[in-house]
Amino acid sequence: MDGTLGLLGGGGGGGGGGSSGASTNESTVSKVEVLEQDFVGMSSEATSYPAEAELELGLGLSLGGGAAVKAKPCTWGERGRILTAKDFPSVVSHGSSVPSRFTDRATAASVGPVSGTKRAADSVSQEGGSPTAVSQVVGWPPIRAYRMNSLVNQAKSQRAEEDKMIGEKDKSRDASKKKIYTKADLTAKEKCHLGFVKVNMDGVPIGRKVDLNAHSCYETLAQMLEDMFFRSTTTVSSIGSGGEKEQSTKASGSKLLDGSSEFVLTYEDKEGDWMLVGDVPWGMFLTSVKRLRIMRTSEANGLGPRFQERNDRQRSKPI
Amino acid sequence: MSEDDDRSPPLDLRGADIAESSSKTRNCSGVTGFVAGPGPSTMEFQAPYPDQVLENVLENVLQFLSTRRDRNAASLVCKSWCRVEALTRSELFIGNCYSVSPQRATARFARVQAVAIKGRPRFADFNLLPPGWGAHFAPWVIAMAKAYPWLEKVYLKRMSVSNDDLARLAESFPSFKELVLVCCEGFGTNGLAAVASKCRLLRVLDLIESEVSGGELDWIASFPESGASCLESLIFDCVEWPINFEALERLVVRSPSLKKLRLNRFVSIGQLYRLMVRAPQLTHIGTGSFSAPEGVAQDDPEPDYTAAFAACKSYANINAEQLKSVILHCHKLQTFWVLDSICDEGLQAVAATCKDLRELRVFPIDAQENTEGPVSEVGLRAISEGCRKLQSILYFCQHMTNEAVITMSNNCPDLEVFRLCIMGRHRPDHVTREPMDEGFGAIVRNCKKLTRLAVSGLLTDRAFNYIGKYGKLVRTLSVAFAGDSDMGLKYVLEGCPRLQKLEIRDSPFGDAALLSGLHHYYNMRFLWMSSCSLSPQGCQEIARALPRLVVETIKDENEERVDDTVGTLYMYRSLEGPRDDAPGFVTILQ
Repeated sequence: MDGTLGLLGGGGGGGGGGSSGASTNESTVSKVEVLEQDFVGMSSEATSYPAEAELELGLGLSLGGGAAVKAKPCTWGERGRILTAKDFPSVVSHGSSVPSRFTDRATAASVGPVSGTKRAADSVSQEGGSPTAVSQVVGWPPIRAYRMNSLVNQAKSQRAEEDKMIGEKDKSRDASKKKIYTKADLTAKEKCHLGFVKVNMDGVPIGRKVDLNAHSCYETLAQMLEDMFFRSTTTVSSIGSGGEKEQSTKASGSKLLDGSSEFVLTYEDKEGDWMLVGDVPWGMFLTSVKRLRIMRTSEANGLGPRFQERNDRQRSKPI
Repeated sequence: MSEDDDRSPPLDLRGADIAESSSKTRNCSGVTGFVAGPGPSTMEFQAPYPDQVLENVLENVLQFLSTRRDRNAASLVCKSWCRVEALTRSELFIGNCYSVSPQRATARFARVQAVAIKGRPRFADFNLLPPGWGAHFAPWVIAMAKAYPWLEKVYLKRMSVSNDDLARLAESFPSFKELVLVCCEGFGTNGLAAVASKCRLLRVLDLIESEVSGGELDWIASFPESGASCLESLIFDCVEWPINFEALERLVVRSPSLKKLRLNRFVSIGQLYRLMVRAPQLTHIGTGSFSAPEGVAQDDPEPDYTAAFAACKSYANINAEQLKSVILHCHKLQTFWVLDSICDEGLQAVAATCKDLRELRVFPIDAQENTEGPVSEVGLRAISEGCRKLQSILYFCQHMTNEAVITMSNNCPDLEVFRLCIMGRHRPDHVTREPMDEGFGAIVRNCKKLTRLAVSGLLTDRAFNYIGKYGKLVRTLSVAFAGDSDMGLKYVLEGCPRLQKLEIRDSPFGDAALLSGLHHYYNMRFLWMSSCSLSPQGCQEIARALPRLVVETIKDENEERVDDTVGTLYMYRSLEGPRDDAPGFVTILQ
């Protein structure tokens, strides 16, 4: 783990010793080490911080996590423990107001700015398949809420676009408009539209689409999904999973189906229930599947009852 | 907006426009030597006195000054020059809407055709400013309606604009041609409908990253249905409401001059394609929230559409492979905004092909502080090696090394804008574990044209020492989670004579540092410091020392501070003193 500071808790931290003299590299590095130890220590204790539950941060910009932002733990599984003055032992002796500032920063960060949260909630809507974690600090990284929104909406609009295409298929049969659709891709896509379903993977903000008509059995589908999501560490899939590197699984047979992977493949059927993929005959699956989700195995226990919002799941998710 | 380092604003009053406006000016003010009157028949001849001759000469000469910096300089020469310059300025730029009142501005500049006004501080974009802070367009549009009935162009950034404001604008300016709203809010589709229906000469309607509320009026259908429209640019990708596509299609068909079209996500790819076919003259086209790479249009149309089409279609998902097939054609690409899903590999492809690249922005799909990311120093280095003409870069990443930044500083001497955002706060060089001081130091040292800088990662006061020492042309500086002590800020305030906009958050700079900039604050547009180590007393001292500075402290009502450090300080020079529209959470110190 590199010496990254301020990953947890509110702003402040890091090289901000506030000393009146110029700080040398050495002292900075030593502070880094001190804090690193604190971080390491904290991560193991994260689950035993019930008293700090109200110090949930979940602020700022989140992809689709606006409303219930407070409850979401961050990707590394810690519950945003806030740095306080006692985390900066080397700082306390200085006469400046810095130590108290850090404490206050901690307190301040714990309470709000809720207005920041609110704005995030207003502007960012819930979206299935959004990442599980949220930036801990308001306004960091500095990306306009509008742009964050648009990433969420990109995913949404793809869905809307699919719906629109269904409606347009009828209109497009007009003779005068026919030649517009000469582009092969477009026609093909429209025709096979109904075979495309969205696939989202836990921890990955952007979903993909697969054409179920292109498969005739579960194996090929699962293999394709594995290629799509688990191919390499530089793909999108590895980003959202909080730094855990996905092992590229090239073994024969699908790990997604046999339960040996960290993830399972599930689908939402016409009734809105989430089911494990592979239980029913392929043909029956095709007629009832609405969308797919690559779910963490830990979450898939007792699959069957309807899964409501991702928030609920994450609140109960053990870290 | 020559001084402005933001993305190129649309106002383009050069050459012809200036001559046009100046001739108008001359007609309005009368022929040389005559007392001005409504028409030649009522004039009496008077021998022109020397001063007037000089003024007329000046008028003729000054009309050719186009940049506001030149004009500002000319206006300082003497009263006569000031007066004449004011009469011939047709493009008015207000960098901070509170620095001057609409009345004062319109009184001085009598013949303005185009106005640009900026409001909220930039960090408001990142939820660091509670809503309702201010920057209302209303007083401006009311004053301009009286003073500039011939007004043609309005450009607003980070202003609060209401539907009423838009309606008033639509009704007050019969010659109105261009409306550009960037990062604005407070209005809805009803306001747009007013503009669309009443501004018959409308050429440009650009809504960029603005928040638009809904309304019952169909604004696209509000454009006049008959006759050709003058529309040249229509951008509304930020409008989060469905639009009437048939009306849009009809509009596009009767807009022969339409070049730029950016639609929102409610227009499907199929519909977009239909429009493209109906309007072959389009040079910029996009959909959703990210548009196709601009500048591709210089190539011949066929690959252009392929590129634009493919890019639009899979923008959010575009990975290195997908990009490679497209970017091969884009030799002339100058401006490229992209998501980091293309990875370092994609950036290498860009570097290999786009030798003319001037501006690059790489945004993160996943804006969290993770330990891994798809782009890194590898991509930055590749870009620096391939795109030697790079002038502006905004780069989000998780990791960086000093070495790559230094390499870029050596390879890209034309850099004017360098904004590197290492998303992990306080993160050092991930190879050497050192602070990122040397990298940014090299940038300010080697990039002699640098005017805008945003720093990140682990930075000590040394980085700021470098900036103060070498960043002599820096006008805009953004700092977050950086520095060790007051010295950092002092270096910058004492070292950067051109500094105009300084925004700092979460850095340990205190009152002493703030005081060290007293000599400079009147030369700045603003200073923003949030979550630093300032006290109300320190800010008060500044306010007392500099009466023409408006010193606002902003308290986030949801934040409870045990001690009395200032949450946010926002201060700016102003001719008007404290504003009267400040909300409750703003305290203006005096």
